[in-house]
Amino acid sequence: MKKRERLFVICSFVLLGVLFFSACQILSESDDECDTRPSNCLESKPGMGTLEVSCTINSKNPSVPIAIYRGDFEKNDLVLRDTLSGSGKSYTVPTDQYYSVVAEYRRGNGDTVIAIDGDDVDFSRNDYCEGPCYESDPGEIDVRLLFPKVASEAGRTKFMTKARHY
Amino acid sequence: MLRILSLLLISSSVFPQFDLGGAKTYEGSHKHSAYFEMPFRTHDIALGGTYRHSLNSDNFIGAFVSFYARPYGKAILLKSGPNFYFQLKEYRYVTAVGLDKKIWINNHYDVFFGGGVGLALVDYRGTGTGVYRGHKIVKKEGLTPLAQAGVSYKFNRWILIRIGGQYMDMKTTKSFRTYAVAGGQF
Repeated sequence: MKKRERLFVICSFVLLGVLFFSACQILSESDDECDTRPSNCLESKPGMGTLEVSCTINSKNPSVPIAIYRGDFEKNDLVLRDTLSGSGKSYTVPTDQYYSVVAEYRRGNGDTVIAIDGDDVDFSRNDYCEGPCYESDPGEIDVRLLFPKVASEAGRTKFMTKARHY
Repeated sequence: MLRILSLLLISSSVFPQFDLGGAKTYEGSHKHSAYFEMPFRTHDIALGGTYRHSLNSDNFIGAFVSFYARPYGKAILLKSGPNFYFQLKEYRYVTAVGLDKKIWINNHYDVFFGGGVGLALVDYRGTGTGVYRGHKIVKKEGLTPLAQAGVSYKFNRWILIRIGGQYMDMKTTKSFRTYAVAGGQF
């Protein structure tokens, strides 16, 4: 068997394996059997969930002011303001909601960097024989300072927008 | 279904087009191609798809329409004034149309190149086009040229892979990316 024929046969078997595995999964999911509900099951959907905020603490930013908004921050629906002195903090907030977080940093050359991120706080539903269970799906916000160097050092000047003031 | 796919894969000839004439005939009778694509570079990746329709089988010229999306929020830094920056998590989408040409080499290999125009759009996590302390977050969107070239390897008549380079003005990240493709012609 030539090398490329062998390669073709191997690829075919890999693809067949993937298809066979997928078919087995579909068949097992369509089965009437169901799993028993775990002991730590949340039977009803909680009204409050978790928002986990990560930030950067360094010598220029020993504490970081943040603001948490319901929806995009420009809607100005403020939930709370806080000042973080550690690398992260969790907040308990109403579920089924999108949150945005704004964090403010200083860089060594006097630059101000506004870090913005957003995520949903929700619960995922799993069905068991006795009924559904809900599992926390926390919002994960990453407002760490990911560009600590000045622009020219980072080599990103080309990709920055022109200054616009309002 | 599984049985049919197995037969299609195993029974297909490893030597689908015996010469250039055979390849042209095949191109003329199988005008549709669909590709799953993955342009990528360091710290950046997009997933997408392309539909190609053969326009001229003698010259292997076709028209294509593509869609790409970055499946995660990539951190970017936008300057919005002297000493003032926004750090954002950016999703980016590109829809593009264009023309391409294949150069037949042998039963398995061909070289391709193409060009077109695309529309690049963005979505930021946590904001639309907000204004913060007098500084507006500008969406870096707009038209972009598209150019791509590379080499294809055909496993059989239907299944092929492509590797090459792709240029698109991504506005906030570097524009040249490696271009990996799996697809088929039918």
